[in-house]
Amino acid sequence: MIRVTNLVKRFKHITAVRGVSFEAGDGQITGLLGPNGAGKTTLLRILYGLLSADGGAAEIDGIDALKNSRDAQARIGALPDTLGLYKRLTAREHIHYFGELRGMSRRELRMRTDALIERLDMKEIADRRVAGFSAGERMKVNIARALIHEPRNVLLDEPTNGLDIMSTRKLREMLLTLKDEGKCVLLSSHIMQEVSALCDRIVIISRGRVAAFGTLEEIRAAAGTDDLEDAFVSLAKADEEVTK
Amino acid sequence: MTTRTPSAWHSIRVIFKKETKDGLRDWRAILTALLIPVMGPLMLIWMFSIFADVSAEPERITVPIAGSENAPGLISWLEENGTTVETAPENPMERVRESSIRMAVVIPDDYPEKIAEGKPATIEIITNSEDQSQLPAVSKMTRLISAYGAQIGALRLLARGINPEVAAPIAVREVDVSEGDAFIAGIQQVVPMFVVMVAFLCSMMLAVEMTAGERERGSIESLLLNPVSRRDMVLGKYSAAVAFSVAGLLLTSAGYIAVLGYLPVEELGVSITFDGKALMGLTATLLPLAFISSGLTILISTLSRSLKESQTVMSFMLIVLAMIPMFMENVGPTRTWMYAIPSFSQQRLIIDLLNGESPVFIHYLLSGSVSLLFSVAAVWITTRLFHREAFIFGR
Repeated sequence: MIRVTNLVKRFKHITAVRGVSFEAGDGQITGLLGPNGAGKTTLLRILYGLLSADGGAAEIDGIDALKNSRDAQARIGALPDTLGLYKRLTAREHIHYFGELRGMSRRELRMRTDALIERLDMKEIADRRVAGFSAGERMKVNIARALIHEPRNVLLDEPTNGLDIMSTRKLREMLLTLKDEGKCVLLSSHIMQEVSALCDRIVIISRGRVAAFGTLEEIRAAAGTDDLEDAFVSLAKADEEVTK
Repeated sequence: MTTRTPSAWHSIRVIFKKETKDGLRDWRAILTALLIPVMGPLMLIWMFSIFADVSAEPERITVPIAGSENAPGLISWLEENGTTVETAPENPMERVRESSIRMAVVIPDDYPEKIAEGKPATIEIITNSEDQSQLPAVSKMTRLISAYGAQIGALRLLARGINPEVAAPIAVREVDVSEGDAFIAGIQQVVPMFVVMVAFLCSMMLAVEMTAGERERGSIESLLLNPVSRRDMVLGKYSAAVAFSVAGLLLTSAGYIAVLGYLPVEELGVSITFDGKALMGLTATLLPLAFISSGLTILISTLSRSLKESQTVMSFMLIVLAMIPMFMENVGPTRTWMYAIPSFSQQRLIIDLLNGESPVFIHYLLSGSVSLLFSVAAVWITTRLFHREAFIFGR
């Protein structure tokens, strides 16, 4: 469960997040939809403790993510914007490293790693060094190490970027499974179809503000159009006019 | 579900383990950590062989001898003592002058006659003193012929019932110290500088990969998602750099001690011994060196915007480090306060050890504590930098 209230983040010359509020519940997939530069990545980085905020509040399972970022981090598994791997380590070693950093016991770690390797269908690549992995294989390593500690909250920053159709599909299945397990899934995207197909609730973000928040139907109703793309454009425009 | 935030000690250990494993698989880091430390000791062997060549008499020399039929006794004595006798060409003096042969020995025809009469017989050694390379051979020849003459003299005295020692009131032994001094001076210039370089190079390979490299690869963001404090991350990485630096220093010290132990340095009139005290002094010198080199390399590579930049800055730093002792030489003789200058102090302490000087506690204390202070400062600043958004996401 993630609750964001009036969050503000300023950089030297621009204000990237201007008072964002929304809630992402357990057992739901919540989508942050917005064009490039809308502030999605900044928002997520604040949630998983990489950036500090200049105002507002953010809670992860009731824990203040701004004050107790390490406790909040312990409840999050995330796929951040950059997904670099250590080319001299194997896939399994990547997963182990992150599990150990989260204080998992050896036994727990072994069982969980085996389960994830099985589930992500990565047996063949598990003990190979990641240098030369395809984008899909790298994504699997990243997902596995983000989920190693069975986090209640899963945050993903444009997770389908650069993936082919098959990998995208696998990722979607994975996210739906997480939802069925009762996890709180929050993902950002600028692809409308992806969000409308996958998400239970949608947060439309434009220029650092929430332009609309609700289910697909609610958003369509608010914009007065059936098509999400049209809804998005009209809501974003309206927001821009307000900002001006 | 795991919602633990592990202890600092646990986190540091996990990061240390990962970074050393990663480093051990990096052939560039390994090549640096293994090859460079042994290069110095190998260079020492090479240096020694040059000095030893100059000073020692050749084992076997080949000498053209004219009139060898006049002195069969002398000839067989020479051949027994490492001389290969050749027949000399006509007019040996001219030949030596024009350098077609390098030296020659002439035994005159009246030699047997003179010997038989008990009169001094003259043997000429023809050399060209401009040809320095022949000096060892000439001195060997001179020594052998004189020794043969002395034997004949002793036999003559004995035949007259006189102890031959009476005729040799003074024994002269020549000890040339110049080669030994030159060798020692060479060691003192090369060894300390090299040891400092090893400390920095070995930690540098890892430091660059762990900070600038981690950011350039885009793996830093994922790493920082873990519930580990930035301080513990820096400490884990720092300790891995220290481990590599220590490994390099151990290897290079072992190499130097082995080489100095096995080389017959006494031949040059040099004595370098490593007793327990010296080993303790060496440890007290090198450990702080490993700490400060790791601290500085990690700080510099964290400050740099890219891998390339950090490598550039680092090579510049190495040159400065190598030049500090040269600069200090101009300042004057070494005083106590100079032991507070990191890198220079370590080089100075190594020189003191090589000289066999007994350790001065205050020197070690000053050198060690200042270096440790610098290391702590470097780690602290690096931790501050790890907190900065500009470091995580680049500038």
